Amino acid sequence: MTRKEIFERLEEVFHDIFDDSGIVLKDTTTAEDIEDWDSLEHINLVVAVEKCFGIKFTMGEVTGMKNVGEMADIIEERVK
Amino acid sequence: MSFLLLFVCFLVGYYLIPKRFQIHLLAAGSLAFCGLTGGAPMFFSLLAATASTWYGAVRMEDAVSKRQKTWWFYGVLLINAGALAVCKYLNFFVYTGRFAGELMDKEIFLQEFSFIVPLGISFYTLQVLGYLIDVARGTCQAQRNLIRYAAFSCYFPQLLTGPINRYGEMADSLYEEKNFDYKRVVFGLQRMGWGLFKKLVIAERMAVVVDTIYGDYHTYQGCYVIFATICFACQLYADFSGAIDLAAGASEILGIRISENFNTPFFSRSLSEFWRRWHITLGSWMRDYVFYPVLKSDLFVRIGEWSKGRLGKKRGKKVPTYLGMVILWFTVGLWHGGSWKYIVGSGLLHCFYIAGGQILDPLFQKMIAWIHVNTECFSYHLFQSLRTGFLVCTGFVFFRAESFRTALKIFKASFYPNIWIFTDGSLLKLGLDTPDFIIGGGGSWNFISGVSTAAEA
Repeated sequence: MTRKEIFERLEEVFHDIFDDSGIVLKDTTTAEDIEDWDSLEHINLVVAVEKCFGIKFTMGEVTGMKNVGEMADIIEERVK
Repeated sequence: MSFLLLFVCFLVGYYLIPKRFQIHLLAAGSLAFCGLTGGAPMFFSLLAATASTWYGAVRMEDAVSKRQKTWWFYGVLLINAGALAVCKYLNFFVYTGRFAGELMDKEIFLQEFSFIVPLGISFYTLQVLGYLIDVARGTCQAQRNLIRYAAFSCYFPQLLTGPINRYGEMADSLYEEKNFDYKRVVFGLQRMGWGLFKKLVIAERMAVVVDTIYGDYHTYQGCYVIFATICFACQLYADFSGAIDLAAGASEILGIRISENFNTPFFSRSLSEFWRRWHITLGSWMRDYVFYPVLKSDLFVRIGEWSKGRLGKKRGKKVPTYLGMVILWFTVGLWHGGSWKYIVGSGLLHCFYIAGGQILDPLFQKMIAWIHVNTECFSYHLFQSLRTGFLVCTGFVFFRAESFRTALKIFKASFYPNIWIFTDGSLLKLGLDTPDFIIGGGGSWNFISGVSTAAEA
């Protein structure tokens, strides 16, 4: 899967979880940029992304990823 | 005072000896500090926590099989969590029995277990467990040198009142060799001085009012109780953040960066924001090591799928979140102390407010639209901060009251119309005179509004 495809699919997941089809993702997007992305929604998001790509994040990755770019890095490596 | 003298002697040694020994001196000094303040119980329990997590982390990293690693992880986790549970929460069952009695309005007599709880155990246990979990998750490497590890786990400025530091964030500045830096030392001293002022001048003045009114809430009713609760919020914040200033100031002098614990919390516009700005290191610890693992567990993911099927996507996904929040806030409350006044006042009550706020949010939005409130102006933000402060204060009533039952009585006592006490001089009969109030109140405003943090930056 190319990085572009990963981002397209990620955007779909984000639109669905945060109920906002205006969200555009970049490598540098963080929880600060999306209003509803707080600690209560974080795991919902992570689980939805896991389901979408058929992968599992480790707990270290869940608490460690700093932005959407890092999330995409992990996905890229896992779905190879 | 003698501690200050010891600290100065320690500093002289710290900057005079060869730099590669600084870390050894720090570890030794920390253990000495621990022995001096907490005596043998604290000394040995801290030593045990240090040795067990150090050894466990190394064995986990060297483990040849996943099973071996899991055994080491849970073994060491249980030893440390178990020690905390026995020391702090054996009486929890006694209190729970009494709490049940209070609810039924009966006095149940149960004997408490009495033994010495090592000072600071709630703080350093979380810190070493955080390290152990990080190594297990692979987010940081195990520290193989016991002395270097002890400098982290026994680091004296944070021992008694936190902040709860993360190994990954602290290690770099902890282990680098440090030169004496005049500017940094002056900054550190200023911050320590400010911390002492908050603790000794502001908090102690506020405590006079709080103790008088909470000690005799039959006499002091209505606005007295409200006034005392606000004073208690100032007292608690001054005392706790003052202690953190002392720790951070001392660390600054030693050239070590530790986590900040407060970020002008009383300006928060919602309760969840409050918990991101008040006792930050506890909140983030609980989030990363309790809340997230619970929510991501297979059980909770399955609960989520089941509830989404039943209640629809939007409402269904909230079910596991709220269940996780109950566990999270119960743990936060329990951490504050093994009694139900903490579990409710510092825990479940906040869970109730946050979840309630979310559930009622559509209704609030409708109301706002209906009465045409401008939500982006200063007065609305002020209203939000005051509302958050009010909710926080209701939790503090439990925190300060002798017991859960007393807290309920205090709430009852606060409904008594006597607003005139603010103007007829009654407040001056509580043990503080006008200059005291000016110092306490002005000082409180000064640090609540964060003037001090701006000055330090």
